[in-house]
Amino acid sequence: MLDLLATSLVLILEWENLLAMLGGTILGICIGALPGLSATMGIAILIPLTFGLHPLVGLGMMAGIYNGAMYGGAIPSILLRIPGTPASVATILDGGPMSDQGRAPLALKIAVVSSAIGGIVSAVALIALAPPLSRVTLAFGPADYFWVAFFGLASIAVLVGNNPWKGIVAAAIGLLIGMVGIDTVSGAGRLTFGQSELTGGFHIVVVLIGLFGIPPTLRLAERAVRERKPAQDARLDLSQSERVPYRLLWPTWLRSSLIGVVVGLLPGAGGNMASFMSYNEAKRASKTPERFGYGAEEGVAAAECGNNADNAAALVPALTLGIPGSSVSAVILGGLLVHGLQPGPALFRDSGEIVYGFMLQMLITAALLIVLGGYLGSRVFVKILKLPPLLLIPIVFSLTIVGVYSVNNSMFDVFLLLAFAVVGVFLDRMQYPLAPVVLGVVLGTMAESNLRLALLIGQGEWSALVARPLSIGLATITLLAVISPMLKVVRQRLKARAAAH
Amino acid sequence: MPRMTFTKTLLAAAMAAGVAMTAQADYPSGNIEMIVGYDAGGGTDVLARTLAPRIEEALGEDARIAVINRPGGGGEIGFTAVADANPDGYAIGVINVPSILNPMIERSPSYDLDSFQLLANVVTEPAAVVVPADSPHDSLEEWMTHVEENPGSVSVGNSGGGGAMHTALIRFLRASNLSVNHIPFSGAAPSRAALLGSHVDASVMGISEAGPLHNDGELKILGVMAAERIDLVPDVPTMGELGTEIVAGSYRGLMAPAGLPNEVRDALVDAVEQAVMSDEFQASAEERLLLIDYMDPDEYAGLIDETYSEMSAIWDEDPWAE
Repeated sequence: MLDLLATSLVLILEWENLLAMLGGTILGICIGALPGLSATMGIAILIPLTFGLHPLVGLGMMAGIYNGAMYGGAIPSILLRIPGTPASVATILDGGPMSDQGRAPLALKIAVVSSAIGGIVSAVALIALAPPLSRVTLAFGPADYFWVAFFGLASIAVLVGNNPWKGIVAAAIGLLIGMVGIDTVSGAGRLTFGQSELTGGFHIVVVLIGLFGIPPTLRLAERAVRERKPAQDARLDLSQSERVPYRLLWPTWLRSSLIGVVVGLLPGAGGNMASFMSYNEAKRASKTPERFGYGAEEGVAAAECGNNADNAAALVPALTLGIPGSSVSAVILGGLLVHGLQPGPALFRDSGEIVYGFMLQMLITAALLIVLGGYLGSRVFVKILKLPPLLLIPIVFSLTIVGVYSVNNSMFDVFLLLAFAVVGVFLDRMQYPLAPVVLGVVLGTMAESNLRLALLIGQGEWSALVARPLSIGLATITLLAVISPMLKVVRQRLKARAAAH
Repeated sequence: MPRMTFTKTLLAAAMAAGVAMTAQADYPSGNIEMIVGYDAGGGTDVLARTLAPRIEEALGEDARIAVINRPGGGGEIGFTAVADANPDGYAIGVINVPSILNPMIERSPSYDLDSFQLLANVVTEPAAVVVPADSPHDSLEEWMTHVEENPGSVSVGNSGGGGAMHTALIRFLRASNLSVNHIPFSGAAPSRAALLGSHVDASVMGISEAGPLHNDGELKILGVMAAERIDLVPDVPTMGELGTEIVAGSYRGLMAPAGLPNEVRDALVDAVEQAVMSDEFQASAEERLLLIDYMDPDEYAGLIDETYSEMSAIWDEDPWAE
């Protein structure tokens, strides 16, 4: 393997490969920063253009776009509270408040360092352990996926904020949104109202941009008209150089990288879940959880590190078994196929220098983020906040609408966007938390379909859910996660009662 | 005012007629949209994008084809878009059999088979019955005995309820008088993961997907629903050899909206045939393990009618969806 790594390193250090990685990463950061455009789309459009090129040149660009976009999504999340990609919703939770406090440059710096660390850990795991890690993917059956999704849903409790009822309502709205479309198990259409456009359900990008993208843009507009204030108060000082608090953040990075890698290995979960789980665990582990949601540096670090740690790990099952762990890795598989590279064990045997070259490119582009992302994010993109709102708001609106249209080349999606925007504005004004909605959409479908597949395989026996040691382990962790906050409350009440006596 | 509107309408109509006439005379003279009802980067999309430049060459130097993805509803959104397009030769689309038939059987989409002008079948993907590498069954006969002894309880995964692979298996089981416990995953990838991890007893998947895994010992193909053995996996018997005559799988080709002018139709059919037969396309298809299986419009229509009537019969007896 070391020989192969050395050969492929020589290959990818040729100038056209370096240029491809550099260009891909910059392109990726920009794609990620534009709401509605995602890495999946960028890579899909790139594939036909790579026909005539050496596979590693095309793959280098793909690696750059992949890593770049995962970080780029953080930029509008922090600056405007608009998620650039589905995986950057969790970044808003603390990135938005940090920006309000005039600490946007620091938040962007933390995001870029965290993204790079997550990406590097993930790429190292991919290079060193891809074939054995692929067995982890296979160990998870429908029952286990159900428990993972259930664990994620249970963690909504951490995100509900001060009013649990509003949090639960928000999560229920998410579950309802996720239910629309043809039920893949029975084949029955649910809540489609005879619209063929709805048979596939709502696209997550349409839901996210509608719920998250439009309300903050309208709020900006309102401020501009009513108070005649720019997007950001004068407090924003670009020359300020608050340092990234490395010492505070390294436990978060370690934990989030691990979570991201594991989630990446599980097909279907994706960067969205990785960032939320990392965020929740960071909050759970923190000595000062009350700072979360009000500009905690660890919150931004956890979310961004988690979603980038998902990247290379999602390629493990894709490259070793041809099972893509996310929509991006599915498109990358398409890119490999175009060059006649069939994923599977044979890929490592027959085209070793290309696979290892690609994995090294994932590593190098993750590291490139620090240089490129640091500069682009904290020097160039941050100036967005200095734009006059009357210029900024129409730009954001047009970009979101073009982005949403380009998802499926469909006007129907643009109308859906407007409908979701109305719901989003309503929820926002009534102070319902929006994060549980996203988790409801993503994890609700995952929990439901896997529960039903598990029961189908077990022919209706509920014991199928705990039939294997792995399932039992996951079920135990989930139950602990659900019960432990309740126990805490009970213990506190008992203590209070004892003190009163 | 009304007079002016009338004149305008007349003028517009005349202009439109003029455009239509020239369009026929020197077709193609503009952008042709190739509508793909699946996501960019998927198998069907890559097929369309590989074929498009070859069709451009065959149509002549003025031809430009732009691939447009309209994913959703298992291809239905894209099929509908083709059916609704102007039949002027500037909109063509990818057809996937039996995916295009499913909506017609399960509900009532806004198209039917008469909405389309077929251009060609390009690639055929025979269905294969596979078991995990650690399965105790090494041959189709052994496995079928196992299924017979446990009617309705052997779990067999597929890539989607009512999809090509699921219905292929249903047809095979019907011919052999067997029943299994169908497990519909939402896509080929989760279905494959469940089989490789032995979470289901068996699975039905396309040969280009199963072949490399079979050759690497990651799973065992018991039989393939093709007329002849497949070069990729020469050791795998066909279902016919094993006593059940069945050819089933998925068929991907090209179509246009019905009502094309004759010259345009002929130009397109010829161009697609040339494109499929071109060395470049053959080579890239071979690299990607695709089985090129050219059928002209008539032969393709015959296959589609046959598949449709067989699937309708199965649906009437025992529907696979609610």
